[in-house]
Amino acid sequence: MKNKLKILRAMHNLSQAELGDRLDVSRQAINAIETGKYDPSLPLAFKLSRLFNLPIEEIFDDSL
Amino acid sequence: MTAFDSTPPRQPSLWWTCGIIIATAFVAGAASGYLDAVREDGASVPPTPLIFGLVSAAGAAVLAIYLARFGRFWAHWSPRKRLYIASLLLAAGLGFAVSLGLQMANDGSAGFDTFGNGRIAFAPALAVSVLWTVGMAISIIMYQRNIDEHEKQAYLWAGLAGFYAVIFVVPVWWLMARAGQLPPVDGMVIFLLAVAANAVVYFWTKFR
Repeated sequence: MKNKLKILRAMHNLSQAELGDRLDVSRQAINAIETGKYDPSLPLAFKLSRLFNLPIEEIFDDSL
Repeated sequence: MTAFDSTPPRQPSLWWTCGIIIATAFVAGAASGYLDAVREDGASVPPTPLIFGLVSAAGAAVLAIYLARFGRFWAHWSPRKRLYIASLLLAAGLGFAVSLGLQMANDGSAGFDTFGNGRIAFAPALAVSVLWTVGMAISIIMYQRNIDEHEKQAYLWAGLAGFYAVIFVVPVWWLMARAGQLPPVDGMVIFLLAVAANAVVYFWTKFR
């Protein structure tokens, strides 16, 4: 699934590892989500939504 | 204060940490194999468990010195991550303990092979079996309760790959052995095959 995670992370000047620490997942998990190789669970998507203060559908795009 | 204000402390490199552990295991194994070979040739050499233990201790010291450069780097880790890392360290320690136990089972007789099928004494066999069973149970429970969801996916696919490696290979080997075309099915070879299939899929799924 496409997403804006990499852009949001860059806007907040966070490394993959730092974002992973804030979400309590590994750096590899963040990398896999950013590159579309892994779709996060609903609880993790909600965590991302709350962290960036954006609706889930503004972070993830399931239209393609 | 926002969720992005604090900066976590510098972390040790995963690659350096794993590299030191793997290099220690490799050097300890190679030294043990070399000593066994030299002993078989009739030369007098120090006991293999002693050298294995010294190399392992040296590796642990190198790792401790490396990690000490980062201070209390684990202080900001979540409880889940601390238990996750603890489960990995426990598994690594278990691997060294089992290897050391197998080395101690070597009575110096010719033809001893750590991963072979030769006869070993009952006491060390029982000790290593208990260590393996109890240690694995504890580390696996700790690990599975504390991995993140991405690693859980890698772990589950890897487990399936290990299972497939067994169900495809064992019946064919068993049939070919009955037909006299292959030696009898070897449990340790099957174990290593399943672990190898598991490892390949795990590392591919988690780190690609």
